[in-house]
Amino acid sequence: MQSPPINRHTRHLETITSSEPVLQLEGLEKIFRSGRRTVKAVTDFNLTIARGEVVGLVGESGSGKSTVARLVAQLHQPTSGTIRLNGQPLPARPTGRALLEYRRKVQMIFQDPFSSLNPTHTVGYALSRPLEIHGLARGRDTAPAVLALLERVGLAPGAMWTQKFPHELSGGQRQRVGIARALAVQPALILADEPTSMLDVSIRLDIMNLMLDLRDQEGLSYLFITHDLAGARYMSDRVAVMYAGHLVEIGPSAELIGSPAHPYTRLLKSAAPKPESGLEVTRVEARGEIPDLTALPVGCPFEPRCLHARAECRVTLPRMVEITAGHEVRCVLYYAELGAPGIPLDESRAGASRVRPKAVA
Amino acid sequence: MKTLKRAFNDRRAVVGAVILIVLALMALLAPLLARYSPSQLSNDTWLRPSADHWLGTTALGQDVFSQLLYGSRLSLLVGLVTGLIATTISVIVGLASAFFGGIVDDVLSGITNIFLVLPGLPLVIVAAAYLQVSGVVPVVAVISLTGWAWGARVLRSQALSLRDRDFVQAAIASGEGPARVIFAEILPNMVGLIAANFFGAALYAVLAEAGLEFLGVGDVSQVTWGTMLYWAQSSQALLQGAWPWIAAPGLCIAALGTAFALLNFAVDEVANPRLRSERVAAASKPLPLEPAGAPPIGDALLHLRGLEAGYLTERGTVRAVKDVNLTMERGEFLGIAGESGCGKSTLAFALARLLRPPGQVLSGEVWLNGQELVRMPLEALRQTRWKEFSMVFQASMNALNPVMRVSEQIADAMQAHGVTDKVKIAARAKELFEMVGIRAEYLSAYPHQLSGGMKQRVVIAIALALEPQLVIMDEPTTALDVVVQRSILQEIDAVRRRLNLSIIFITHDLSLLVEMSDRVAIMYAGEIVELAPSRDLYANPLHPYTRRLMNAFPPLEGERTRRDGIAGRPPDLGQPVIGCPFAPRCDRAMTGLCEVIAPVKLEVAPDHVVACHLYDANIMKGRSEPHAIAAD
Repeated sequence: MQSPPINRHTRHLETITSSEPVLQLEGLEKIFRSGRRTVKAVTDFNLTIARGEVVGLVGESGSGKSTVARLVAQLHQPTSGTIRLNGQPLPARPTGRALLEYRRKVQMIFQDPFSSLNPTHTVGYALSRPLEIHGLARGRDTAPAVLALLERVGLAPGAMWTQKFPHELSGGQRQRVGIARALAVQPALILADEPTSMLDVSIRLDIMNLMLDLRDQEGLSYLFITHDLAGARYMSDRVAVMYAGHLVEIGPSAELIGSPAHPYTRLLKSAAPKPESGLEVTRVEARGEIPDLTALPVGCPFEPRCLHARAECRVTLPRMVEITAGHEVRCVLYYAELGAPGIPLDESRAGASRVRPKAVA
Repeated sequence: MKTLKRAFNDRRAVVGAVILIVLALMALLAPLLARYSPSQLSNDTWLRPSADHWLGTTALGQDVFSQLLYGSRLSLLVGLVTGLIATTISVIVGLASAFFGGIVDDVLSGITNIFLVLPGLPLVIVAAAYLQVSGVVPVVAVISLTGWAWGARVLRSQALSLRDRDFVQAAIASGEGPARVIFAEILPNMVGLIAANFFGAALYAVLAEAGLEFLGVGDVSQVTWGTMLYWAQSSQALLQGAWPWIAAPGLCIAALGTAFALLNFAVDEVANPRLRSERVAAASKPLPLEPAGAPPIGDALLHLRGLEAGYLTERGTVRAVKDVNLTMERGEFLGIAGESGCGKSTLAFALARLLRPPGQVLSGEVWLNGQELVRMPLEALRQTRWKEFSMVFQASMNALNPVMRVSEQIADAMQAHGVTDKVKIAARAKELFEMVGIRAEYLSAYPHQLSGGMKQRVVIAIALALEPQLVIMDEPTTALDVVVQRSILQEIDAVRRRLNLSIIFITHDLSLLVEMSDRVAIMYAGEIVELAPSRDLYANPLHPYTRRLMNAFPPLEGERTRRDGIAGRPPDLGQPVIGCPFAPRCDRAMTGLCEVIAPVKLEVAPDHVVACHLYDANIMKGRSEPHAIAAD
């Protein structure tokens, strides 16, 4: 008897998302102040997420991607800019009813499943609280609602889990509880801050698939934050790339990762493991590291590391330009008035620099 | 209920609680237990302990035992009230400071700092002299007021760190209000500290009260343990042989301190569910090793022969590495991959002789350059390490000494192995830095001035300092960003080609390994289940586990199709594993075979070894399954 192939449920991940926006971020900015230091964590950030859409937000540590999630989750207050939920602008410092209403629609999944659940509370408590806070279940109705939640995230039978403390669960099980907690209030948007990076490889796909299934079933939208390009491509309809607090490129995920335009996106892609490229290892020329966010360059934040930088890059921050439908990039090399030279194709594979075959001693 | 039960299981808690209960009962039942009024005078002075007077009588003929009972009332009350007041102030100030931050924090921290430097005892002496209220009230007031500051400071920093924890952020994001966040999320995680604070303040108050009364500051007409000591001392009780008069209150104070200390130990464990899980206690004695066999023949750098390693626990031996046989050539880059808990790190620690009890090598041999490492005496091992082989771990960069310049740390490693020429060392340090891609001016930097990536480069430089032939790297770049990771890996690869180093590189990231390594070993449940040149492993993975693991990494190119993870979990290595360890999770498992008979390792193609029945021609002969799944 022939066993089924590995991809039993092989199907395409592309879905048709509506154009109705759930979340609109307009000119979002966050400056952290501590003493005399000011850290510009997020600068002029614009993004729209449609109903049922997954937008991947990619960047390295210090790129500001987690700060964006925390601004949208109202865990931090934006320094300036507007957050619109279903078209409605959120007041600058929302309180009371307005904030609670907003929180019911926007939920968050955290990176570290070992610290996102309170060690002193049971799973049942963690899941019943959101229901109670938002008046979705009361008294006797709470317990069955909690069981249903657990079963929806694949922890069945639910009764087995409600009395457990977080330390009695594995990382994957905790992350499922984290997802259930976000789902409890039937939100419209879930901010997922690297939800799989702390998990074992064998269960990362399970968690991502669970999230995708829930999207299909409930028309959820996700902001999926990750440093892993391949994971972003797997999960997302569109991918946005951040560098030093700036959005530098955004586009449909297959296109953006298939043919990245921004020098930084190319660097990221060239640095990602590519077993399918065979054994011809390409050399990545990575100059320097992420700039100091307390003293950002005036012009393009990537200019100090960019191998294609021009004089004007040091003077003004490039604007976002659309290169194909829905694919925008913040780089002067794509300015129409400059003839949009772009970056020569032969360098696209190796990213930001020359291709050099693996040196053999 | 559960909490009480657990507390009963803790011997320290039980002893502490019993002492405290006895003291409390003495205080509560004093009128019933005492046969005399504590201040009633009589002519029976200086009596020795007897059936009538268990602890004898005082210089004024008062019954010492009755005084001890009544004295405990006021002494314990002082402790209780002061502990409660001081702890309450600490908690309120500490939490408010941490939670509200900003100006509230500035003001409260300022006040806390002022109270922190107020000397408690001298203040009490002054207060006792000036306050019109007599007795213990000034003691309670002053000790409460001066005793809270330290606790407030500690609780504030604890609350601050808790406030930023994800579970608190999650509670806020789900809509919890400030009160609930403070009292239901933050506070339960601080119970241990708060209890410690209470015990500390209470004991301090009891001691202060006793001390002041002993000095005669305060109202010596009241009966407390302190006034007993005062009267006993001033009547020269010891010269009269009335030692119980001094010993009894002294012992009671000591007993109270002991009870608090014991309870303190237990509170943390009872309050924090995480600490409740059973501890895996180490078995006392390491198991003896069989003598090593003959040295291996051939020019290979490293031979692992039947290496088994694990952890000796009270519940039995956890066999984390099973029967690993491996030969490594000079200059080879060997990758080891697998899920967490597959034994890959234990293997690295075992062959570097870094396993600490309860971990140990159970059997087998590690031959490096003709020397057997497992049985090597410690002094010889110390010499061999760094010179012949070195290690880099994920956390290595955090192990750099923060108060030493990085150049000194490189020099240290070299001096420890007999290189003393300063000029030579400096030149070598520069060369090493260049090798791992750091500019030489960073040689004089301190670790905190370097980014995570640079620190890990320094660690790699130190590992290369003595030109070892083998470097073992366990997830050396996992905590770093992709670009940094890639550039470090490039340096590692360039160095190994230049120096003809061998590298064992351990990571969960199989896609990275396939790209970097000459050969890849896939570990599962402590065994190497597949070993092949990485090109072959990528093009033609054989073991079903390897295929699933490979499939678990979505690609950067090609169609976006749904993929599945690996259902189930690896087996418990503390239990004997029967049959193929992967069988319960394997979609190609053959009923009646895989779960019963363990597969042997077969070389199915040149240098391509796999442990799976599907490739065993003898077993597959009589079966209808296609015997190779290589082509699908």
